[in-house]
Amino acid sequence: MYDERGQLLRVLPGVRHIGLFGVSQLLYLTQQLPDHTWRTLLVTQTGQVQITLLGCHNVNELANTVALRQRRHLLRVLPEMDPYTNDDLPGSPPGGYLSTRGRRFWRD
Amino acid sequence: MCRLAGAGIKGSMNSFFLAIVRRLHLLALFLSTVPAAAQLPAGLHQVARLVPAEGPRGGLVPYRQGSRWGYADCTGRIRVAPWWPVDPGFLVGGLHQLASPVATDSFMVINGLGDCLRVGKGQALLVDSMGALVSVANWLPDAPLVYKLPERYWRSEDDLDRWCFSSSPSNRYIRRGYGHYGFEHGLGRFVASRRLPDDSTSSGYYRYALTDYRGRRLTKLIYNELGDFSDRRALVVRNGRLGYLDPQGREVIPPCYHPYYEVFNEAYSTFHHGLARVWDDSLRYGLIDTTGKVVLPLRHWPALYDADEAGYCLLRRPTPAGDTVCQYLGLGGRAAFGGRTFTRAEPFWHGRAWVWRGQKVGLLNARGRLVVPYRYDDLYFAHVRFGIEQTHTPARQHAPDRCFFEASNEHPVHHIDTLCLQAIRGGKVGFVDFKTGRELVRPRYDYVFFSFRAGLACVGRGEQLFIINRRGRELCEGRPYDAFNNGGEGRDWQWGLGRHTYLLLSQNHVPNTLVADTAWLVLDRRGRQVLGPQPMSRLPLFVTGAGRVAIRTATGYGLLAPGGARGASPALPAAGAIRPVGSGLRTRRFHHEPAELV
Repeated sequence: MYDERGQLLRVLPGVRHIGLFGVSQLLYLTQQLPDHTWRTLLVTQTGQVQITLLGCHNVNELANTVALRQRRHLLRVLPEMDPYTNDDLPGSPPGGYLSTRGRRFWRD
Repeated sequence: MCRLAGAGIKGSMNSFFLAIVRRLHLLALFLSTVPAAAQLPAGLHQVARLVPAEGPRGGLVPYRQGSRWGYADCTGRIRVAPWWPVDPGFLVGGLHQLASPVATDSFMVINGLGDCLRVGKGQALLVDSMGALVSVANWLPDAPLVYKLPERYWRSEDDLDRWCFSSSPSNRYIRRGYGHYGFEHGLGRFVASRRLPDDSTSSGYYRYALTDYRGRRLTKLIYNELGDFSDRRALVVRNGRLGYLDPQGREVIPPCYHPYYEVFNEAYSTFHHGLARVWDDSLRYGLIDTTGKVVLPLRHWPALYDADEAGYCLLRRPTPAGDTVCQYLGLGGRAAFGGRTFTRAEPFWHGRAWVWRGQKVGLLNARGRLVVPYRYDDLYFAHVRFGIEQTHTPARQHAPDRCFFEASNEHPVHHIDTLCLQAIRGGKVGFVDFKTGRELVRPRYDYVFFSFRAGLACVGRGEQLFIINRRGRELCEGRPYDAFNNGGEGRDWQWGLGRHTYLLLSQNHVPNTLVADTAWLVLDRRGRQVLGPQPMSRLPLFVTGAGRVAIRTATGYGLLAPGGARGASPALPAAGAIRPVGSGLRTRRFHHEPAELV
């Protein structure tokens, strides 16, 4: 990841999925760590990691039927997935909703 | 004394028993109410009439505890205790329809305040005249269990297709489900139908009656067809004749016309702006008003349309010379615009109508003034498609119901700017403002590659493509980053981010081939170069804020910032056919230079 002057900010190795959420303007990454565990990152436009989730999660924006004021601040977190086949991992909690400030709307 | 005392004791015993009986009664009442209350989670209150409400600031958010779902507000406070086994979803328009986890034969509708309306077996959900939802007894024994929530409260999440609808108030679309119910906003009148038992000999398989929303029948169950209310008249067909009902169920226009729509599978002859088309048995047709008076005599007119959104009926009538002309009929069927006639005309759409004089087309406003004079060979909106090669051929897409935007998850919908009309003159294409009629871009291009969107369009002259703005200024020569030459991954070339728009353009494209472009670059909406030419080994994925681009290389993903490209750009291909003129912001006019000289 580079900054505006072309300086290398941080190296993000092992990124498997990448996406941009248009309404909340967050970058979505899943990353494999050297110890073969996975984590899910939500990165702001300035390159700061806003939210880190343990495991390889599929994070989506809300459907466009939902009011915009909710779509701006909420993301849907789906159960942990197999990073290679993108299937849901059996036994993982069923996910929930996550605000862009990190408030999670679930309790396991 | 004893008697008195005895009477007193007796009286006190009586009052004691009475009190016990009362308490038992109260207890029984309480017990009878407890199970109903216990079936609802904390935070939900049952109401008889549900008013749509958004609820707390930020809305209700589905909240999961273990395997049960409820609702919280955006601060995380639980508003409805977890109860449902599946994600109940968000509210749309202040309402949400939910299945009850305890009773499978009923469902419930909640609003943001936690009010809950239960619709049980044998009940139907309706909208009363104030817009609130009520559940009423389902008055037809063979009707479906429940009626669906009105369509404005639910939208399919998967269906991304959008249609341009005319904003006419008379186009209120009333959904009638599988031949059972319809509803009419505001009037509280409903169409009830009953399926006839094995009566295939009658002209209609169903019989209809008009009822109010409490289920009181206003007419007999005699109609083969019962349409929706429009201008306080509902179409009915009885014994193969067509007439109209008023909201009280009286046949104000008795069934005497030919049910043309039924025979020829045409649209319903409903009233629009107080006029309806009717047919007689020899299929001559004309116009009647809501009192049943014939305002345009029934003849074999070459063409006659229903009243459009501006209230005019378009009539094509023969002339004594053997030709035909078009004419608009206004209120009460009288000739509009002083009886002015046109070679060809179309119904009004968004306050404008396409009219022709000879071979030239112009635009008419609803007061009869020509806002675009007869100067052009054709005027149309571009049809948004994803096959870029197909956009070269003009598609005549200016009728409202033909303006269709196709989309899917891979190809998000790109709404074109419907204020900019493409105008053809002398084989060249330009742009005209739809509302003011002003010529935005003089017809001087050969084709439109991408029509206007977010104030920018891509047009072509010969082999050369230009990005232009609404003033007709050519920002740069540029070919939009072409998804088809990059594995068909559906990238967009315009990235609107806040107040900024970034253009992702490709470079060194070989025309009319599928050869991959060799470089790409990013401009802002004023044509300034944000990110210099980058090789295709850094494959652009999308543009984020401040012109940063997410890229994919052979080794992984990266985020490329504007400054980053300038210093350490790898071996770039030679400067190609694209030359952004962003450096020359002050140049008013763009001077076209042959590509070899650059």
